[in-house]
Amino acid sequence: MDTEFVLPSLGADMEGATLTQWLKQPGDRVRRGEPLATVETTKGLIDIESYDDGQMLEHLVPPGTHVPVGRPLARLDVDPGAHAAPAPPGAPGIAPGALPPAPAASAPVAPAPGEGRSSRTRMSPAARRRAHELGVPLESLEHAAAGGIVHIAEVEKLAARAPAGDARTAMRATIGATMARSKREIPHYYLGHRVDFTPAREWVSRYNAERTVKDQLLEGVLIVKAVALAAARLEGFNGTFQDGQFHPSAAVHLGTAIAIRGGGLVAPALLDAHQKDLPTLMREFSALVARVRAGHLRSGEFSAATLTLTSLGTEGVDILYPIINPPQVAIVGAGEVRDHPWVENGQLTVRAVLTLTLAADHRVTDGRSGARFLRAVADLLAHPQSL
Amino acid sequence: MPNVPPEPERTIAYRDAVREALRCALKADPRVFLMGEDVGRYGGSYAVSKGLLEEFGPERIRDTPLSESAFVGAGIGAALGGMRPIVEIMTVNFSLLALDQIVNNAATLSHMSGGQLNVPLVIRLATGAGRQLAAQHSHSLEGWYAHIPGLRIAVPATLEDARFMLEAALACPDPVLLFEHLYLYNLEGALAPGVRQVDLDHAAVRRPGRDVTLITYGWSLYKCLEAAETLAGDGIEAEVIDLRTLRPLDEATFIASVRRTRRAVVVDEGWRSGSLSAEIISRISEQAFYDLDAPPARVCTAEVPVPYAKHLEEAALPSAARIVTAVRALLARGGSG
Amino acid sequence: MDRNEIHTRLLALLTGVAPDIDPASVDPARNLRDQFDFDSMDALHFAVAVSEAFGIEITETDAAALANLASAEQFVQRRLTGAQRA
Repeated sequence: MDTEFVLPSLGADMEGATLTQWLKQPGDRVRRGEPLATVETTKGLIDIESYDDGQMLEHLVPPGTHVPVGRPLARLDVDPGAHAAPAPPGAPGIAPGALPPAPAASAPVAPAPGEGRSSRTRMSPAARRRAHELGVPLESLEHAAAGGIVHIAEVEKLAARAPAGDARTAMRATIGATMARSKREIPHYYLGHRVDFTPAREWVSRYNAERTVKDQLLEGVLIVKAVALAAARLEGFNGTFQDGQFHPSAAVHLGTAIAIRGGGLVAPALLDAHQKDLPTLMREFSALVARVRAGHLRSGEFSAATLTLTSLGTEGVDILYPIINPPQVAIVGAGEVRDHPWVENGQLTVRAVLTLTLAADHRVTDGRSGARFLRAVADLLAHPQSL
Repeated sequence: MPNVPPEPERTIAYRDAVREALRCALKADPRVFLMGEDVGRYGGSYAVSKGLLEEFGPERIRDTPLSESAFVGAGIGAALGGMRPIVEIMTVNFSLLALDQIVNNAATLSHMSGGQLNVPLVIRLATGAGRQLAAQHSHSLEGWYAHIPGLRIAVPATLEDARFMLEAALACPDPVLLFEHLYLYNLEGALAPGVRQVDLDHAAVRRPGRDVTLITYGWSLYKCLEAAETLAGDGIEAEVIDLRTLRPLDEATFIASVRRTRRAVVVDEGWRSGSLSAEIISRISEQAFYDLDAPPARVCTAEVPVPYAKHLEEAALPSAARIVTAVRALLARGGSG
Repeated sequence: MDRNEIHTRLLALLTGVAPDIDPASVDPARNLRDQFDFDSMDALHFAVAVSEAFGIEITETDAAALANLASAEQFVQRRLTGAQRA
């Protein structure tokens, strides 16, 4: 079946991307999940993957082209029966060929109730188009608006100031815009929970002692698994808040915040983290970090996260107060595991202590369920062998 | 025109330009005749047809009873019968008495007869406000008529159009309504020497500019030109487009202009609700949306029956000052680029 | 394999793990974590890369030896010569 392969949205704030390379040529066989092309976004290079098995028929867009979200990139001949395959997990609304073009937001429309659109940057249509032409990220224009509206003059001024394609600046702007939007729209509540990490630490140490570096685990992977399991068990933390309501996700695609050297942050997802054993998670996490370092992520893991874990485990920070990555509804922070005095059964001891924090969306849950969630994570970490 | 020696520039009043057009038409084609209230012995309410009765006689310059429905109907009949009638309706409000003839007969017969029955009728109407004629004689209803398929609506704003649009209208096989703004009859100026004919198809750029497009017609053209002059003093270059024909709209011209300037102000003496200005802005939104750097704006007549008192009438109508204000507001929001 | 060769290959491994590092800027005596924001995953990747490139087994207790480039050079050299003797 002849279908169009469109540029998927790889995040709520993504307007478009520049196609940098075709990875499949006309005539090539294509498997579901295989990267078809590489695009450059404000988040870096991303491989976008096929939704279907089939054959590449034709490229519709040459490399170097800036393409808005939803624009067809290529024609694929999809194998019979294969097209019914669901979109990649957790990627809301990126059914191939079904995406409308990115909305051009400029008219001073009243926000739809609960939709939270009021915060988007109001730009004249001409300014929006000029920004695309000049490669000025829309996020960076948020504060350039005179009287709340960005016109073509502001775009050109900004383009003259910041050299086009400065990826770091663009990423900083994206992070800024996303976090500002989160803080504006999401009523965060915060909880902290001190966890006795000693059993987990000892278990990892024993596990690693028997293995060479290639097969070793990082302690962080245990936290990944514990958070994923808790999120799968307790409702209200795993999913997205869109169109005025919470959409729970059955699968836990755990976004893992990964710092980029020299500044910047991405949070690609470990898909189905709740179902994978620790060595598998470790392998995937390791590969994910390697891809982030190489600036080369895949579309599926980029857009899919249903919950995020952020850790500053090696930075000497005890407590994080993270900001939810919209449209997700929760984020878990993990501080550094350190020896602390600990009272247990009336006895003062020294334990390896991890402080977990939860920032969650009050539109979906409240403190009591948040507390239960953190306790579930703590209980899971207390029995690392069962992870 | 080959081998015609250049005509010297001459000064003429709008009223006289229309009369000259009538005289030329009457001379050129024996099928042409003028009929309407007071067009003969009185010389026309606005003295447009003064002297024509004497020159062409009562057969061709016909005074009619005060019954618009009857004499517009007679004009339609004459047109069907092979004549080229020019019907004058004193002011546009009186055309309401002939709406059935205009909308249900003149506009439809060609379509309903499968093209067998053309109605080559020209109706001239005085339109607009500004002369203290009060609520019942100050309408700008040309936008209403522009709603009707089967009619061609033209608005001569310049002396050249006043002089030459009639000929183009008479050449048209379908009914044409020519709306002459009553304020313009006294307009005097130099008739451009090279112009010998005009069309009924194209809008005209009366002043080029890069920062904003003023889209207008009729008397408002002069207000827009005055506003553009004022704005030029601030370094704002306004392009002024005279629509000339309201149906069919020459959208290609104003869309191309708006694509360039990215801003549009429609100046229409009609009321804004359900108006021609609304139609123009709709088309801009449909066709030039991604080129817009500011929401399209309008300067229209206040939505009241046009007042009699001079200061109230002035306050109700579009003015150069209101146009300047509207443009500045757009550019203030849009920066100076 | 002489010290220079080990140094060159370690630098290549380092930039493999962290492509954004300018190899010319590496200070052999400085801790990689402080110098390049290496986190535990980066350190592990480096250890795995060293292990595979030089064919040597690295366990968790060796990890400290890979904290900076100079100590990594010594470690690799020691292991390689040890392996030759064996």
